[in-house]
Amino acid sequence: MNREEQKQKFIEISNLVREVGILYGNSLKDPSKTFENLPAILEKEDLADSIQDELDDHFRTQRNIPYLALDRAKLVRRLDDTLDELALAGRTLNAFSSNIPDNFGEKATSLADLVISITSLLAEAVETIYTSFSDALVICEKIENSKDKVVEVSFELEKDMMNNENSDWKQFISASRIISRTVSSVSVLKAASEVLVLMSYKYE
Amino acid sequence: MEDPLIFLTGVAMLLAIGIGANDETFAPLTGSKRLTVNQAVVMGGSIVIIGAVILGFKVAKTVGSGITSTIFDTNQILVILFSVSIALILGSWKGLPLSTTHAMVGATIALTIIIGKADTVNVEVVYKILASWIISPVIGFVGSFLVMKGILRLKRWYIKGLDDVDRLETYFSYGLLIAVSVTAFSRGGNDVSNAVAPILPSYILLYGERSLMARIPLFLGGICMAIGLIVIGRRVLKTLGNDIVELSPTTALSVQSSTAIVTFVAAFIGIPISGTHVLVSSFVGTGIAAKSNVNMNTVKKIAVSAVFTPIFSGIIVFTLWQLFKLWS
Repeated sequence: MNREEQKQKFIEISNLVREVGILYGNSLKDPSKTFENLPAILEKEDLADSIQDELDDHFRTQRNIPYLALDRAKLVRRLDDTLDELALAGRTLNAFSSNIPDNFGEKATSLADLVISITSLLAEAVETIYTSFSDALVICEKIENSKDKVVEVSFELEKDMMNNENSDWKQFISASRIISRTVSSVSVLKAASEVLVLMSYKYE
Repeated sequence: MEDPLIFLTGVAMLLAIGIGANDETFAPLTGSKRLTVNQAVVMGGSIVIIGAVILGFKVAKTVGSGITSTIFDTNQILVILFSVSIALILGSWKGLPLSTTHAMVGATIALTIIIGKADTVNVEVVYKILASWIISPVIGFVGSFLVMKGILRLKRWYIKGLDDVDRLETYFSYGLLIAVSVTAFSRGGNDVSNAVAPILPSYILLYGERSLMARIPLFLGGICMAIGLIVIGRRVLKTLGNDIVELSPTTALSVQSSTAIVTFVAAFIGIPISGTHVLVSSFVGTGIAAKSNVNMNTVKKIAVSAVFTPIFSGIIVFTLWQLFKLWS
């Protein structure tokens, strides 16, 4: 694997993050589509695992400069972690979607849009860092701001559901689980962007 | 005269193997994975032989007969070689980075004085050597500081993204290969003198200075240093390569380019210097230029050992000579 092929692998895995983000986000907006979207999410997660194995093998066996290889190894792990978390969020949504309030999808639209936005930003940051550290830093700052919004939005969503007299405890717990899993996924997305931030500071 | 000379040559070659076994010159290349350890030891061994033969004569002459006009007999040469070996072993056991060159020069001068031939010591040459021991690390420090500043400026101008980092580090790793090769060539000339200096005057006396036969010890010394590097030195490279795993090719190039220039010039003009001390001062210069944390305690320890080494080997020479006189 040469330098260009290695770069393409990273872009490929980051595009998988974007695609899974879109699938999950759409499932959040319309939970009835979760069953249909979940196999695609899991398939992409498996594909990401095999790309990570390929890159790990490359770092271990090929003559890469350790100073450069260690950062890349960390980055591929964080990207794979994001896909694992999104896959888990998808399974959680699938498991609990039958017990959530009917209007959950509508209320969760802003949360879903934020997830889609963050995964797209992360994919963009991974591609951008190869040509410009400063532009990658700008994108990572947007991810950080979006993550803060996710926390706010999820808090309001849960508060809203708690105060809604029409939702029972089962519905609340199911929705709460889904929201919690979504926020976890976003935290892992942010952690992946942190690796890009540190790489930018290190090399710039 | 030839039989004792053959025996002494054998002892000198053992010391050469030991010197080769401790050669860390190629560590930056194995650490940054530009070369495998096998490639490094074969390449290093070949270059060291060439350096020993081409550059070693002048340095070995300075140490062997430039410092003193006394021709040592078999026993005296043995005392010098054993003293240097003991000094290095004791120092290594204590974890002190001792210079073979410093130990050899100290032992040679000490024995000359002990056997009552202090008037044969060439004071001018001694002053020149002492001056080079101070000047060479200073030049190494200043050179690497300036080179690192230049590299940092280049990086700030050139690097925009990760593609540029990869490209630059690859170019610098090729530059590092050249710098390390020059260092190995120069150190071949410098280090072989540590092993063969005591016996070279005998070869010159036997065959004449211009004869190729007078260069036999250099050739054999180079081969033995190569053997030491290939058979045992690979362990040192593996250890040091892991220790410097965070050293980038650009930083390593800054260290190596200064070291390469200083050791080459010294070997070319025939002045014995410590390659290790030049390397350490280059590390310090690079670290300060890059605003990294430099362990000044270690630097102080190395500086103290640099001063102490010739005195220490002189004390061992005195002790061994007294023991030899008692025994005989």
